[in-house]
Amino acid sequence: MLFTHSETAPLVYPRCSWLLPGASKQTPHSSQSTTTKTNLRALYAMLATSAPAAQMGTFRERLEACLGNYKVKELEKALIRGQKLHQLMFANDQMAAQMSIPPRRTIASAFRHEEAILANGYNGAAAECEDPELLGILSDILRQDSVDLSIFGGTYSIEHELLMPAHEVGSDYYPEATAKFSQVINPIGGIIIACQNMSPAGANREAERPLRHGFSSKAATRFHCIKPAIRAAP
Amino acid sequence: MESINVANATKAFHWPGRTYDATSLEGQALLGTPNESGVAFMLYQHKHDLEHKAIKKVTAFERDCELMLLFYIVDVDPHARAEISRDAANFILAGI
Repeated sequence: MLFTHSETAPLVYPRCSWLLPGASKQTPHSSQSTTTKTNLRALYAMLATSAPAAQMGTFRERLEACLGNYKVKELEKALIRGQKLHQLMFANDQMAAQMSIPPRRTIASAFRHEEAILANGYNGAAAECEDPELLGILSDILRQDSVDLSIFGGTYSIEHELLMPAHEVGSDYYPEATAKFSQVINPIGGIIIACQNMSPAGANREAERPLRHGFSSKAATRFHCIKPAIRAAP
Repeated sequence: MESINVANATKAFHWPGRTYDATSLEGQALLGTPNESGVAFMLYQHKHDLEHKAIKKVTAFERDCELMLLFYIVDVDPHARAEISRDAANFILAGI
């Protein structure tokens, strides 16, 4: 579950450096292998507090011993992706568009209006999301954080459910894919709660099925989707 | 989160959990996870509607054996915007 909470205080952003001291002066996207090495250094620096300097060279092996090679690779991938996303958040639209691969005119989402959503397979059926227990938990948490918020006032919920039935394209068989997204929004308090963010990949992982297709533009047009329902709380 | 806890020799905590600055390695590793990257996508793809905002810090805590993430979103300081633009420009030039 994800919560977002907006603050009014400006963020003073330290100079963003992809590279730690002593790392190569290569830029992050100049090559994937360099990026991985750079982030491995960052990872090792993070680990430095838990091992003597003489054993720095064995950090990856030690981490692998604890977590396994797969999870270490996942962590490295998350670091690379997180650093890029961090830069994209701070860059203006033009600069962020240039940073995308391939470069684009704008990074702004095409999904800004209901028409764009309807054009991508949503069938117009309404769904509602109610989870008072969740709202109560969040309200308690935010009170502990000294946030003065009336979470039950002006709260909206939105839910998307997507289902693509099993089908065949030529000789390829595609199993059923589902996805479910459920969010609660309080615009006055500046709160967004992601109650459920189950992507098709996540749903297939949970069902222990191999992912055969994702949200490609072609596939998205064939999704049977439930239109988001926006409901004002009493 | 498990990787970060193993790396830092920490454990999952109940509320108030553990808070990571978005500029820290832990914060950026969390930012790169599928769950958190969606928040970043929303912020940088909807600047026209939401104005220029960014994640400042992330609080991770555990409740009923489930990981919860709390994001603090702030307005981007114009100076920071200029700074990141210079960094991005360096990246673009070096990438040619």
